[in-house]
Amino acid sequence: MIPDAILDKISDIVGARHLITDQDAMHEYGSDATKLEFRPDAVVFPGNSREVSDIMRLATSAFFPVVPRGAGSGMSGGALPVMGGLVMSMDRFNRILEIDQSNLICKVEPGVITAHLQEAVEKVDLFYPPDPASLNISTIGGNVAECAGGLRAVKYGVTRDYVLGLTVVLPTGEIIKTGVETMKGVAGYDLTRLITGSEGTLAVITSITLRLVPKPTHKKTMLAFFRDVSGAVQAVSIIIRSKIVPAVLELMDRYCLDSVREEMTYPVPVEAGAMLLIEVDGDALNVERDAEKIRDLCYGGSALGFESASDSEESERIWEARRNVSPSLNKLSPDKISEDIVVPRSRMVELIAFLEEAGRRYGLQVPAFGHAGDGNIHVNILFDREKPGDEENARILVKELLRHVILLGGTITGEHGIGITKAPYLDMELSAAGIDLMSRIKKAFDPAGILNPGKIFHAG
Amino acid sequence: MKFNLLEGRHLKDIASIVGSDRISTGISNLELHSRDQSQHPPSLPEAVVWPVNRTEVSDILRYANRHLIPVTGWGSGTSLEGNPIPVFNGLVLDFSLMNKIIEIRESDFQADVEPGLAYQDLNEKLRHKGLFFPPDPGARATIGGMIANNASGIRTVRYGSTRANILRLTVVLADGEVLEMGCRASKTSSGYDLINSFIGSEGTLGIVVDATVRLRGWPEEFSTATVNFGDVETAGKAVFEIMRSGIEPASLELLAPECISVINREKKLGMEVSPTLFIEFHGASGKQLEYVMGIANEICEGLDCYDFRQGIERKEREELLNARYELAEMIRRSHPGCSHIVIDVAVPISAYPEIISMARSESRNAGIPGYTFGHAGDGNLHLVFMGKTGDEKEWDIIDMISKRIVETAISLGGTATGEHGVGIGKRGFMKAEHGRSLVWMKKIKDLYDPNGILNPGKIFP
Ligand SMILES: Cc1cc2nc3c(=O)[nH]c(=O)nc-3n(C[C@H](O)[C@H](O)[C@H](O)COP(=O)(O)OP(=O)(O)OC[C@H]3O[C@@H](n4cnc5c(N)ncnc54)[C@H](O)[C@@H]3O)c2cc1C
Ligand SMILES: Cc1cc2nc3c(=O)[nH]c(=O)nc-3n(C[C@H](O)[C@H](O)[C@H](O)COP(=O)(O)OP(=O)(O)OC[C@H]3O[C@@H](n4cnc5c(N)ncnc54)[C@H](O)[C@@H]3O)c2cc1C
Repeated sequence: MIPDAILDKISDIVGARHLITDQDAMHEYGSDATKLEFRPDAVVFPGNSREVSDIMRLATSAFFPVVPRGAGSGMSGGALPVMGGLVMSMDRFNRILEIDQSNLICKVEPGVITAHLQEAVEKVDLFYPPDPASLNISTIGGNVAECAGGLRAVKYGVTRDYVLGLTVVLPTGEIIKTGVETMKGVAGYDLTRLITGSEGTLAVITSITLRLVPKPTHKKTMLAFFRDVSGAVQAVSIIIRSKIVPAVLELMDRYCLDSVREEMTYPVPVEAGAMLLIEVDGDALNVERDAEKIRDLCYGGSALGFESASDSEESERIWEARRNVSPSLNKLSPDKISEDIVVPRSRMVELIAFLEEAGRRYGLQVPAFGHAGDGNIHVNILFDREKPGDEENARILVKELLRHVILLGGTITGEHGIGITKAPYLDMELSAAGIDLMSRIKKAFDPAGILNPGKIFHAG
Repeated sequence: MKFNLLEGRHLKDIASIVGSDRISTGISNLELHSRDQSQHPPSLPEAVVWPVNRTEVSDILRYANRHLIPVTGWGSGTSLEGNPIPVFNGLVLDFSLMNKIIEIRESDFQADVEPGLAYQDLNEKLRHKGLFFPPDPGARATIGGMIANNASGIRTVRYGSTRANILRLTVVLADGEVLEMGCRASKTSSGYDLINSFIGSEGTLGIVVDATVRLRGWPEEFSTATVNFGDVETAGKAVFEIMRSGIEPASLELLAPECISVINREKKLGMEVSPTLFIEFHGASGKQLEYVMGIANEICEGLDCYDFRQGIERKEREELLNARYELAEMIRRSHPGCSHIVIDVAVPISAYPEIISMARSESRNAGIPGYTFGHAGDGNLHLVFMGKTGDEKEWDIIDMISKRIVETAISLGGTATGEHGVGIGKRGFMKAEHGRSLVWMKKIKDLYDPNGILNPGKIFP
């Protein structure tokens, strides 16, 4: 527990209004999208880098954990105060500082909601592409800390590809600026990318310079239905090999399709066991041409049906359905483990075959959906804690799955990060030497180990 | 420094790792590895070693680390800032025998390669598969040297620098530990991003022994144009407006009139001697390229360009590209008895006209021949100054104006080096550009390489 005398000091730094300790709040700020809960001792809402710095210096000397928090939409438990201490909410860092239309960059504070930034830049015909499905709640700071991906990653890349520079507060209280405001620069080591994706364990991010791109003038959303997942996955390969790079190439298997079937305003062929959601963007000519070609390629493959949204309202309805998949799966069974694996695109068929076989073997439903265009599949292992053996089987299946993914040349987390839920498996993917180097970096940045302790590196 | 001289016993021990035919102390070999393509003073290594696999590299590093012997990696030695010059002597590891393509996985758009492979050789192999590895610094650079310098090229404006095209690396650390990072999947958020700490570290954090690179499909159609302007600053404005318009050129190069003269003299291309932009678009259909080229045309017309030449045919395009790749060498050839320095600043694109005009007036006022060109679409400006070799007074002036240009770029929110790296030449600007961050870069260096044996004397002031 943080002693009262220290809490008083924190309160002096930020003002009493911005430090809370009541139990309801501890409940709210002790949980995230993993539904796990660890209660912090207090939640602080700093208002500027100076305050963050003072708190960090205090934490390092008085030795209490500090856990940065965006919106708590993380899927790997990054924002959970697993060792108690102080949750540092970035809520007040919620300003878009500058949108520089001439240089296609913007400067934002970390607490800005992803969707708000997107709306603001789209108003001036610019575009910030990373779009995690959680964009209506997640913060830019959380996106940078997790190196979030999204539906458009197949064409536009992930958050890392847009971060040009950062202002960060280190655990020692030092404030540094990293990176550039230019499109390229190679002077010295890349601290920006080291901190991006470090899950709030190396530094607290207080300001972010992001690269923007001109907004594509046109887009078209399409749906293609297939008898089974492997047919859909084959279509993905065919599309990519034809050198079309769609902005979105999302896959849903039968379970996922069923969970949102009613919301679909298009006739879904009864025998459809998989669906692709495809979007192309660009200028008018390109979009029409790519859309036609994709339609031909899908029908040339094994598509059972193909639909195109005729206007933005129709396409928004399709999107709504896609965004509802993850929450709707909760209707199928009381408990689920979500994995966020990526395999090389050419190995997706093998992965899907494995999922079907393993699901059968353990008698569990294993719905899969995700960013098929870049091989990033969200695998959900459904189970019922109450049913004897169910949970254990689910955990064994997870291990088998991750091992299989590594064998296929993939990664155990494409975009959700390691946090606590993947920490036990980190050594499946990274060598001891790699983990050792990472933990030495952690130690150099955070000698007292006060910043978001218990994450990434597995204790036991 | 605290390094040890290479003694007979060291040579014997290293020879027992690689075999005596792959280590040399012959003076011609030492000289070949004492200088790169910059004017920085050469420095001889004490021995050159040609490893053939990661085990050898690991054994050598473990040995060198224990005996405090400096080790500097060597690709083709085409760097422009002294990056591979072994300033503290010691060993040079030349990767020319590790130059294989290990595997090409067409359907994943990936290739596994050894570090000594020249990127042109990879692209040659990929040609009939319709794929390519985009970064193209022009010189016969190796993939290892490109990773170490995070090299860019003419196509970077569309396809990114080397960094954007690397998926997985195997690196040997200073103590001989072999580290694999990244994976063959398209993305990962597994732990800290170690890969990107090695890319651009100029061989000071670890030695790359193999890499998985990302390939792209050749576009079905190209469209190439050149356009002339009344002055260089206006050409710079056109660059800014083209980039701002969202039409995504695949190349956007600036050539000042003095560069055109050099090209005409050597290549007999008969180009109009005036500020010129080279513009290229890549795309899937001729119709679409016509459309974007039309927008580029409108922008340039709006700035009173003359002679917007569209529809340049394949043969002429190749000639122009080759001339551009060879430009730096041609400039040097046209000034016998002179040495050169290459400015490599990058600025936010809106400041591009300003930095051009500042740099050119500095050069004019000082009466030093300066050649302006660059990867304009990236906000990257090159200025080559030629000064009489050994003329200290002239070189003092060149150093002074170079310094002023770099400082101006940094004050405009830019960087001292857009692509060539810090090496020896840009160390003096690191503090101005990075402030306190530099301390943290040094901490990273100490952490990866506590004895400081990897390419000492680089990056840090
Ligand atoms: C329905 C749903 C769909 C999702 N879809 C996607 C998807 O498509 N792609 C994807 O990548 N993710 C997805 N996510 C996961 C999650 O939204 C992302 O990881 C997001 O980036 C987290 O942002 P947040 O603001 O909620 O951060 P939090 O969950 O609050 O924190 C995440 C991590 O960031 C750290 N952090 C937060 N702010 C800072 C800061 N200022 N400085 C330093 N560290 C900080 C925290 O300590 C923690 O480790 C989804 C989540 C949900 C619930
Ligand atoms: C005419 C000309 C034009 C050029 N144009 C461009 C351009 O447009 N853009 C651009 O970015 N650059 C350009 N360059 C610079 C140069 O070609 C690049 O920096 C290139 O990446 C150097 O590659 P190299 O194989 O010659 O490496 P070297 O010069 O041999 O070495 C470069 C650095 O890499 C290190 N190194 C080499 N191999 C390894 C390894 N296996 N592991 C770890 N470290 C290693 C060395 O120690 C050194 O620090 C140009 C050079 C010339 C001569």
